[in-house]
Amino acid sequence: MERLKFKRKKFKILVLKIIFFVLGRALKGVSNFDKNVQNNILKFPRPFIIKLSLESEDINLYLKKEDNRLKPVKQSDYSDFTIYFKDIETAFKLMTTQKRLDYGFSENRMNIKGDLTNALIFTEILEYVQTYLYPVFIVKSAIKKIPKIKIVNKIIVRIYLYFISIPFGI
Amino acid sequence: MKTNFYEFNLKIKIISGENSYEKIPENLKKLNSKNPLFITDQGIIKAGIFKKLQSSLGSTEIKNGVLFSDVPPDSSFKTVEKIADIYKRNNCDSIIAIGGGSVIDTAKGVNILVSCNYNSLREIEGADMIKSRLNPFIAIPTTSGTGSEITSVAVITDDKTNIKKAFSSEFLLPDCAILDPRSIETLPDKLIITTGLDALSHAIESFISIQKNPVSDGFAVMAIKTIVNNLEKGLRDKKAKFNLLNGSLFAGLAFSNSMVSIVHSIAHAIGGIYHLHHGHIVGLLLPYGLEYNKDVSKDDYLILSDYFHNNTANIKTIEKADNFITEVKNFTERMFLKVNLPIRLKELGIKKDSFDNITDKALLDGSIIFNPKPVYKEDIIKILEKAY
Repeated sequence: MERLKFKRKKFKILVLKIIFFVLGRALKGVSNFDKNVQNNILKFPRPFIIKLSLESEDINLYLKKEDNRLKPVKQSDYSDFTIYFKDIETAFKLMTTQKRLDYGFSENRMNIKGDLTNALIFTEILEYVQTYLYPVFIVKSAIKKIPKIKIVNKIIVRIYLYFISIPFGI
Repeated sequence: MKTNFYEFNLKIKIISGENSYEKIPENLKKLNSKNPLFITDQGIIKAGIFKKLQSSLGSTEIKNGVLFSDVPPDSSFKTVEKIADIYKRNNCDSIIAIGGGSVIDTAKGVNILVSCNYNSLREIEGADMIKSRLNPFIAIPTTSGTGSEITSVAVITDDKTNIKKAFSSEFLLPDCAILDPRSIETLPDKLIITTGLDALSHAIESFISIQKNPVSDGFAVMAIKTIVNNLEKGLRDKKAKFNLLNGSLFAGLAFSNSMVSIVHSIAHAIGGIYHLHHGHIVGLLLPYGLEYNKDVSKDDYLILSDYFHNNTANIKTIEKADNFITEVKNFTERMFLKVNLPIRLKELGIKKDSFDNITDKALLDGSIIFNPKPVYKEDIIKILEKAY
C-alpha cells in the first residue's frame, strides 16, 4: 500500500490571491466611474455582501455594497450571495481570462449560494471591469457580451485603475 | 459541441407505457419506502386521474399513504412549507408527485425541506447547494411539456418577494419518472398544443445552447422528431398523445443537461408580468428567437431541418438552414390556429409599453447565459416587436 499526498498548486494559489486583491480594487474603481455598473449595483438588495471563494484554499474576496458602489472588505461573517469555484483550475482560468465566465456556469464549474438573479447582475459587472482592465484582443476571448463603452472613457478609467485605484485602493 | 467539456446526468429510472402505475409499488419497495406522500392538484383529482392511480395501487404492498391535493397553479414557498409539515407529521418516507410542472416542482421543494431539515427554501437558495441525496421521489407527469419529471431544476415563487426562484441540483432529480397513458387521457386540446410547443422549444433551444453536447443532442433530436410527428395527431389519437409524453421527456433530458436560452428568458419575463400560459408564449416566440441566433446557429439549424420537415431531400443544404426558421414558424402557427389560439403577442393583451420591463427581466433570467449569441437590451426589444 502506498499513501498518497496531493501537492498544493502554490504558484496558482499565489496568482489567485493577487488577482482577487486586484479585482476587488478594480471593482471599487470601476464602480466610482461607470454609470451602468452603478445601476447594476443598485439592483442588489441592501445591505449586500458578495463573496467570491475558492473554498479548498480559503481564498476569498468579500465585496460590500455601499449605495451604488462596491467596496472590498477584508473579512465578513456572512455573505448574501456567494460564488464558489469548485476547483483551482477553474478559478485560475476564469480569473486569468483564459475561460469565459458563461462557460464556467455552463460547465457546472461553480456553485452559487443565493438568488441566481444576482449571478447575472454580477456577471455583467465583471464584464465591465474586464473590459476596462484588458485590451480588446483579450476581452474578445474572455467575455461573451462585450459592453459598449466609449473609447475615451475606457482609456481614462483604465489609467485611473492602473495608476490610482489598484495601487492605492481608491 | 461549443466547448470541449460536458457533463450529462442520467440517474433516473424511466418507466413508460401501458400500466406503468402498477410498477410503483415494486419501485417504492426498492427505495425502502412504505408510507408515501402523494402530491397533486385539484385538476388531477377532478379529471379522475388520481382515482386511476389510487385504484392501480390496490392489492399491492403499499398499504398506507397520505394525500395533499391542493397545489396551486403557481406554487409558492408557503405551499411547500405546508406540505413539508404534513410529510413530517405523518411520518412519510417518500414522495409521489402526479401533475404538471407546478406539482412536480412543488414536490421537489418539499423533498429539499424534509430531507435536509430546512424550515424554508430561502435557506438553500442557489445552484448546486444541496450536498446529499434526498428522500425517495417518484414523479408522474400529466402534461406533455414541462419535462419537470426528468429535470434537476425546480421553480417556486417566494411569497415574500413574489419572485420566481430557481433551485438547481442533481439531487432534485426524481428516482423514477412514470409515464402512463392514463395520465394524459383527459388533457385538453389547447394544453396538448401549448405544452407540446414548450417541449419542442426545450429540444431546439438545448440543441443550440452553449452547453449542448453529443448526448443531449441525441435526446433533442429524438424529441423534435417525436413532437413534430405527433403534435397534430395528438389532438385525436391516444397513441400520438402518449408519444408526446415521451417526446416531452426526451426534451427534458436534453434541456436538463444543456439548458434553454433566449426564448425561455423572454417567456419567463412575460409570464412573470402577465401570468399567461408559459407554453403559449414560448411557442409564439420560438421562431423569432431562432431568427435572432441564426448567424451563430446556422449549422445546428441545418441538422435540425432534416428532422423537422420530411420533404427537404431535394433542397440545397444552405437553403435548408434558412428554411428551418420558416418551417418552425409555419408549424407553430398552424398548431396554434388548430385550437384557436392567438399567434401574435398583441392578441395576448401584452402592451408595448411593457417591453422595457420585459426586457429588463429577461436579461436577468438564468437561461440567457446559455444563449449562443450575446443578448443586449435592444435585441430583445426587436424580437418582441417582430412577435407583436
